[in-house]
Amino acid sequence: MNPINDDDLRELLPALRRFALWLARDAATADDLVQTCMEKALSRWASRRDGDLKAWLFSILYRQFIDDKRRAKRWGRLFDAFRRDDLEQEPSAEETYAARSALGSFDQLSDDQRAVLLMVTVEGLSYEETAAALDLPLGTVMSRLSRARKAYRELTGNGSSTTALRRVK
Amino acid sequence: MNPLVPSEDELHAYVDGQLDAARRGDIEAWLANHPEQAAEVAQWRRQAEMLRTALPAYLLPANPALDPVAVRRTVRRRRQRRLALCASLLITLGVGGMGGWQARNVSLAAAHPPMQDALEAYRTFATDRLRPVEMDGSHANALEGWLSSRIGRPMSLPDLGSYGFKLLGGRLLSTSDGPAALVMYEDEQGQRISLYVRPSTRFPGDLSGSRQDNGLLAKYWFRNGYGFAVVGRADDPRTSVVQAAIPSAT
Repeated sequence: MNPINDDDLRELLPALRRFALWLARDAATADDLVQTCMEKALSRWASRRDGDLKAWLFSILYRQFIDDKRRAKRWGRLFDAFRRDDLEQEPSAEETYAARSALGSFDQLSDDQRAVLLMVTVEGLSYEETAAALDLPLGTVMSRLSRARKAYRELTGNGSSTTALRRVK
Repeated sequence: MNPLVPSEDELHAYVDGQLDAARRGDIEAWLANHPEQAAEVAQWRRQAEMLRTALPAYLLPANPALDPVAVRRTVRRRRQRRLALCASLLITLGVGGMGGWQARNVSLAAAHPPMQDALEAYRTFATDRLRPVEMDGSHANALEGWLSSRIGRPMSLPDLGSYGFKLLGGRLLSTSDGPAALVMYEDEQGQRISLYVRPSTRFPGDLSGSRQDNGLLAKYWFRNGYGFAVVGRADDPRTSVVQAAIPSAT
């Protein structure tokens, strides 16, 4: 195991921020994620297994993202109890617009599908590294990749916008 | 030529460049004869391309706070702040707790001056020329044994001979906390001084002090759930020093 090399970390920062942004869809939230990820990476450096640094950092970031989201959902449920459920109606104009663009469609994939697709196609991680980063068996990664690609194709829908509005949970 | 039909996983791996060269060649050849699968694979390729090319639109401004050096500094500062916060919290609790306890004792003492009954007992019995004591001091050991067994604590009667006082005797009194002992001494001029011992639930801890009250002086102290007081005339200098001859006071 090597000592901490700040330059290696620095080099991976853009990819981490990009990945976080794709997941969080909000620049400030994304950078908060990256910040927490970096803190954890620095404090857990000693327990790092040998392997790709990028995959390791991505796994920390993804887990942080999922944890944050779970926490937000818990709070959200609490607040929902005080609120009429008139929010779950039609998608807003903004959402409709987003759904029509290719990137908007991507945003509608589920978190795990987006994570797999990003790691494999954009960040160029191997299937094994992706499986390790997401803490999943290889077979699950493959089936998620397959589902993600099909869902994404349906969302971008060969030009037809009717399917693009379907929510993929 | 590999006759095997490629699995879907293999097709993904083909798109993602995760196959070895030989297998890639096999699949390329197979796809050439299977236009439907070839179209799907081409679609996946386009998707990946779309995602990759969409990225520049998401370029983020530089954020120096994310540099490892900055992150380390942030963590260190936060840890220091937390430590400081913890410390100040502990100090606050400590000061508040101790202060509160002190204030409780002070206010309790102000509302009910400690060992007031010792002063009252002196006033009642030391002025009594006929019967100041219940049991006289001629049998010091018997007096000692009797008082000790009644107040529930071994009590040795101090020898105040060096101050010119000799044992006059003792009596048992009652308090709300249980029996109390009053031991009286007298000098040759008939001047009297008393030692008063009582159980105490109000001041279980260590507390000591002195108080003047209408020409009398009480020197008192608390030990192990008992209160002790030497009471005598305030203008007699011996009142404030005989305490030194009493074992439980040291």
